[in-house]
Amino acid sequence: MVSTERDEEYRTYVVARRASLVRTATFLACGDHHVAEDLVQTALMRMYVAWPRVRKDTVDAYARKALVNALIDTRRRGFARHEYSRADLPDVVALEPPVPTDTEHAVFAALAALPARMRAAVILRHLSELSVAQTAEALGCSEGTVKSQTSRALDQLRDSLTAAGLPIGARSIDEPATARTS
Amino acid sequence: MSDITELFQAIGPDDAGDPAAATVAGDLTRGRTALVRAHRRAVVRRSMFATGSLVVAAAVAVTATQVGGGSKAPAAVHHGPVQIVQHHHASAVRLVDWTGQQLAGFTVDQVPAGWHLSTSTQFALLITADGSTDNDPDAFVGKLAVLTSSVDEHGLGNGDPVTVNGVPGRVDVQDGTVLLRYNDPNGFGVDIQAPPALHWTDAQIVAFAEGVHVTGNAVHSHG
Repeated sequence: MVSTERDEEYRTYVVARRASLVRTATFLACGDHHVAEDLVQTALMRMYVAWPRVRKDTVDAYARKALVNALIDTRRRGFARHEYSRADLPDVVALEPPVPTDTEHAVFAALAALPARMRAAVILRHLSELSVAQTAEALGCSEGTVKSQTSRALDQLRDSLTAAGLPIGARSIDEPATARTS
Repeated sequence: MSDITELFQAIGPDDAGDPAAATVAGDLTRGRTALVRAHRRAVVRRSMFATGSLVVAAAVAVTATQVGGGSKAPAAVHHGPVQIVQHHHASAVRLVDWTGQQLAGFTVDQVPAGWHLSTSTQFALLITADGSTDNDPDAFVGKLAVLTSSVDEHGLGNGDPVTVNGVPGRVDVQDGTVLLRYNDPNGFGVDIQAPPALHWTDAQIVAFAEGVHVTGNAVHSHG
């Protein structure tokens, strides 16, 4: 079997960035590690196909967009359609996902109450710490939409978390975010 | 940093550390499988476009003939689509014995004259014309490709019924590309795609297929 330049570049990227993608996906999937893994696998699979068209300086942005698209597609189609049975079970032992803490349980439950795109907006802004423009690019919408979606998401999150015993202060969503590469 | 940001950053899985080698290998395998699937879809799309063009060309020819029925242009009736369908009979590239190195996944007894084994993966063997420098295992255009069929596809599809080593197969022509599907003795479904440049007939692609052997290194594709 041959290993192409595409394979090597892709492998290097996956090794370096997969953990970060899984973390973001875990929030998008509201703490469901299995769904998060599916989102990451789908996003990475699409990235491999598109690899020659992905510019190296925007590969992280492409990954974020693929992740969000995988989330939206999942909600449109449902995961059942991606499942197919096999005659033989894989040899790999599946690791049990970690038990969520009370805080994680409350946060993920609050995120689950948000519509998918609104959830993605607040996660990209406040977990990945993307700028409004970067978030708009990942979501394929205007910066104004990002601001409004994030504002509404924060209001709902504060209400949910306060009700769950985790009150958080009201802070401006427009405060500058430091762009990260995740 | 907002309170929400601080809260988010305090929970959830760690974003540091390298993934397991098996995890990375799985991502790579899924990507390559998806790429093969994308290539197949592209072939079908091209053939549908060509078929659509054929229908339009036929309709235009008929319409032109009918409109011009009163004039003196009856010869237009036989032009157009016939030339597109019958294109591959001229100057077909003959098969010659392959004495060079075999590649993992597949072996072949013969190759088109002036062509050589380029590269192989678990899913595909690609054969290119001598002088070609394109050894990308994921680029199929202009290459003679031997592919393991997807486990999610059943049946032989459409096309002319043929026999490959005693088992049934089907040959279809899509946009000049000759496509053969059959099952090899090991139970592998096999797809062979011969590019328009070879000008192969049904008999020639079957003759090539009868010298193709899928080895234990090959695996089924998915999708």
